[in-house]
Amino acid sequence: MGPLMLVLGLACGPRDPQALKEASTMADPLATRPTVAAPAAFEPPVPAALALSNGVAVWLLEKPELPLVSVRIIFQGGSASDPAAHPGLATLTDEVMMHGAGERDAAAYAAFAEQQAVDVGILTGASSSVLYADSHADKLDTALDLLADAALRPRLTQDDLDRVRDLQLGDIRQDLDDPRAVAPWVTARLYYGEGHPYAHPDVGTPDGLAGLTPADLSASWSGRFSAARAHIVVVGAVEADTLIAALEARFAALPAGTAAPEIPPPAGISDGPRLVLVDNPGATQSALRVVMPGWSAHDPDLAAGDLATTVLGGTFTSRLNRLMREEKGYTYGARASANPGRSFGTVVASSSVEKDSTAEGLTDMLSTLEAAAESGFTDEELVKAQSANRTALISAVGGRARTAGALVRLVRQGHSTDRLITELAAEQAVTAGQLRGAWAPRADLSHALILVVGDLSEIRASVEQAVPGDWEVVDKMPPPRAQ
Amino acid sequence: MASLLLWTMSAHAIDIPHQKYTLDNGLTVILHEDHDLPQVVVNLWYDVGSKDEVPGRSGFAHLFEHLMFMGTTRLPDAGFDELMEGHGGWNNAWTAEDATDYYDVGPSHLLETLLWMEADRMDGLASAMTQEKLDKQRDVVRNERRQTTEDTPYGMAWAALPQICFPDGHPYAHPVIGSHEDLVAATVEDVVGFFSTWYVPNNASLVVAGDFDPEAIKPIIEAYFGHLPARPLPPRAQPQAPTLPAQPLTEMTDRVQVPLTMIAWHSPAAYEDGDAALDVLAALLSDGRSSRLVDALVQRGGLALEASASQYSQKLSSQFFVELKPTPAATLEQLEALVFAELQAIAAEGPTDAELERIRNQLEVSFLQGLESLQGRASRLNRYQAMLGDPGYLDRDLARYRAVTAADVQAAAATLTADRAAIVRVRPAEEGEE
Repeated sequence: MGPLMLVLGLACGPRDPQALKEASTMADPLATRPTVAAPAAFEPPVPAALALSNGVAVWLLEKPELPLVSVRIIFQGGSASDPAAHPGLATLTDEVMMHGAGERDAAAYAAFAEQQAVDVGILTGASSSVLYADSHADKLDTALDLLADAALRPRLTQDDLDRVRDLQLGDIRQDLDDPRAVAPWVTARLYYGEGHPYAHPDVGTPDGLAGLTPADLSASWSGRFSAARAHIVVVGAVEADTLIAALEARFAALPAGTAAPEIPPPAGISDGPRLVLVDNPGATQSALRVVMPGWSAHDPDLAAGDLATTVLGGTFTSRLNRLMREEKGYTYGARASANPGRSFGTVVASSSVEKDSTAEGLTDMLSTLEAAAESGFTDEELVKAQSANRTALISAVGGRARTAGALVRLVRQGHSTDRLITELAAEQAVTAGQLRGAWAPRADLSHALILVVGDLSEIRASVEQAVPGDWEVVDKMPPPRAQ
Repeated sequence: MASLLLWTMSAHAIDIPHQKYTLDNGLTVILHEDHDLPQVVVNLWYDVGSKDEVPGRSGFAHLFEHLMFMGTTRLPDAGFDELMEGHGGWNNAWTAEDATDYYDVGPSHLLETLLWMEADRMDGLASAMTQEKLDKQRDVVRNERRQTTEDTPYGMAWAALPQICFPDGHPYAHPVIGSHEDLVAATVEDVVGFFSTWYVPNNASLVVAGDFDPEAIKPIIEAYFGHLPARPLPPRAQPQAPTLPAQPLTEMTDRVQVPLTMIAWHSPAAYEDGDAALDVLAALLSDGRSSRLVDALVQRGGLALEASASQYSQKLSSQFFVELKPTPAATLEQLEALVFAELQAIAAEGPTDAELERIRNQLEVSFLQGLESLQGRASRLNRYQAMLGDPGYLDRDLARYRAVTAADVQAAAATLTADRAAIVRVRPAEEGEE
C-alpha cells in the first residue's frame, strides 16, 4: 500500500507538506497511482447574438485579456454553387476577390494588410466561404475595411484571374502527387456521384478552370456575397456597441440577395460496397479511405454517433489506431471522424499502411467498423470518448481564432448561440447502448465507398483477394468534359 | 478569472508569469498559473535530440520518443495512453536535432495523475523494455518515415539535406527520422543505454501550466520527481562551425510534377548575433504577398508557384533556407539566380523603413497570437529554459527583433551569397524512374 496522502486528488485542496515529504522518502513514492478527482465545472461560452439593420446576424464573444480580435464572415454557398462545367469557380472567385478590391489593386491590397499586420483571407469550403481577419484590436477598423472591400467591391480583373488561376492549377498539380490529398477528392467524386454539389474538389479541375472570364467570376461573386447568406462572428477585445457601429458602416450595404439553396442528400450507395482502386506507382504505402453515411448536425443520434466514432477512431487509443498502429505496426496512424453537415453527414475512416500490409490493413479497418455493430461499446469506452470530446471543447475555446473557428462551425451547421452548451450536455447524457444504436445502421458496408490508393502492380491482387467484389480502377481526376 | 498573461499597451511589455525552481536532483521546474479554463498542460523537455545519436543509430532519439509510451512496470503496456485518455487527457511529443519534448494536455483535475505518469516513465521506462515493444515501435517509426518522407512530395530531398550540408560526423549530418538500416539495427541494449544516459532529472525541465494552485502542486512534484537520482551527463559534441559541402549542387528526382529548388546556407546559432536579423530577412523575402520574393516571383512575375525563406534556428548552428517551385515559365536555375540577385540588392540597399515597420508589426502580433493557447505558453517557457536557461526571456526575445536595423538585415543578406550556398534541385522523375 502506498502513501495515503498520494491517493487524494487535487480538488481536495493543498496537501500536508510534511506528509508529502515523508511520502517522498518512502521506498517507492510512485507505487500508488493517484486517484482522479471529479472534473471541475465547465460551461462553454455563449456569444452575444446581435444583428445589423439589414438583418445580418452578428455573434460577438468578448475576450478582452489580450488586445487581439478575430473576425469571420460566413457566406453560405461555397464550391457547392459551382456550375457543372466549372468546378473550382467559387474558389477561384474568392481568391481573386482577395487580389484587388476597392481602391487597391492586388499589390496595394496585400501591402496595406501586411503593413498593418492584419492577416486577411478567405477559406472556400463546399458549403460556405469564410472571409477572415485576425489582427491587433487597434486595427479592427482596418481589418473590416479590407473585408468589406473584398466582399462588396472586388475588382475581379482579367490579369488577376489569369495569375490566380495559374497558381490554383499549380496547387492541383502538386496535390495530385500526394495520395492523402487525392483520396478525399476521389471519394467525394464517387460517393456523392456526378452532378451532386459536393462531388468535385473545392479547388476544381484543370478542365473546369479553363476558359473562365471575369464575367464568370462576377456572376459567382454576386450570387453568394449577400446579406441573406451572411453571418458575422467576432471574438476578441471589442465591445458590442463599437463593433456594431463599425460593421453597420461597412456591411449594411451588402445586397439583399437570396438564401443559399439546400444541398440535396447524396443518392447514396445501396448495393455496395463500392470498391475503388487508384494507381500510385512507386508508393511505399497505400492510402485507405472508407466513407459511410453519418449523421446530420440536427440528427438526434448525432451525440451518440459522434461518440461511437470517437471510440472507433477519434483518439490515440481508439480501436482502429490501437489495432492497426500499436498492435500491428504497419501504419503511423489510423483514424475515423464524423462529419455532420446541415442536412446530412458522413463517417470517414482513413489510414496509410505499408504497401505489403495493404490487404491486411483494409481487412482490419473494415472488420473494426463492422464488428462494433455486434459487440457494441463498453461503458469505459463511452466515458473515454465523453472525456475526450469535453477536453477538445475546452481547448476549442482557448484562444480567439480557435474560438471563432468553433463558432463558425455552429453557424455552418445552423445552430443557435448556446449550441456548445447543449452539445456538451447531450454527449454527457448518452449511454453505451445508445452508441450501439446509433452506430449499427452505419456499420452496414453495403452503403460504403472503399478506396485504396497505392501501387497497383504490387497490391492489387492481394486486395482483391482479401475483399472480394467488383473492384474498379479510376483516375485521380475525372476525365475532361466534352466541349 | 482572467488570464494572467500580461500586456501593457503603453510600454508594449509582454510576459508569461511563472515561478522557476530546481529540485535537489537537478530537475528544473517552471510553474505558470492560469485559471481561465479548467485545463492544465504538463510539458517535459529533455535536452537530447538526434544530434546526440551515435554513429549507426540515426533516428534513435525519435524512436526512443515512441518507446516512452510503451509502458512501465507500474503502468504496463498501453497504460500510459489508456489512463490519460480515460480521463480526458491527451498527449504527444516531438523530437528534433536538439531536444525531445513531451506534452500532456488535460482537464485540471487530472494534473496529479499526469505528473505521476511522467515521473513513472522517467523512473522506470528502461526496466520494462522488451524486444517486442522495440519491434512494434520500430515498425511504426518506419511507417512514419514512409508516410512523411518517402511518400510525401520532396520528402526525400529534405531527408538528404543534412548529409549534403554538414560534414561527416557532424551532429546535424543526418535527418531526425534516421535511415531504415539504422532503425533496424537498434537493440534493447541501445534503448536502456540511451535512457540511463539522457533521461535523467538533471537533463530535463518540467513546465506545469494552467488551472492549479502552485503551492499545492510543489510538494506533489517533489514527492514524485524528487527521489529520482541525478546522473552525470556525458560531454556534448562541440563541432567546428560547418563549412560548405564539397559538392554544393545536388540533383535529385522524385514522383512529383512540379520541380523544386532548395538553397541552404549555414547561419548563426539560435539567439546568437545575426539570428534575429536573419528571421527578419526571411520575413522580408517571403512573409506575405507584399514580401520581396513572393511579390516579384509569384504575384507579379508569374515565375514561381511558391517562394519561401526561413531561418531554422538551432543550438549548434542554424541554417537559412530558400525554397522555390517554378511555374512552367521559369527554370530552377533562373529562380536561383533571381534569389541571389535579390539578396545582393538587399545587402547593398537594405530594406525600406516601410518594410521594416511591416515586419515589426507582424512580429509583434504573431508574438501575441502565439501566446493565446496554454500549450503555446508552456512550450515557449520550456524552449527558453532549454536554449537559454531563462524561461522569462520572452520580453528580451521580442526586444531583439525590435532592435534589428536595416544595417543588420543588410549584413545578414551579405552572408547569403551564391558561393556559400548548397543547392538541392528536385525534378520530376521520368516514368518508371525512382
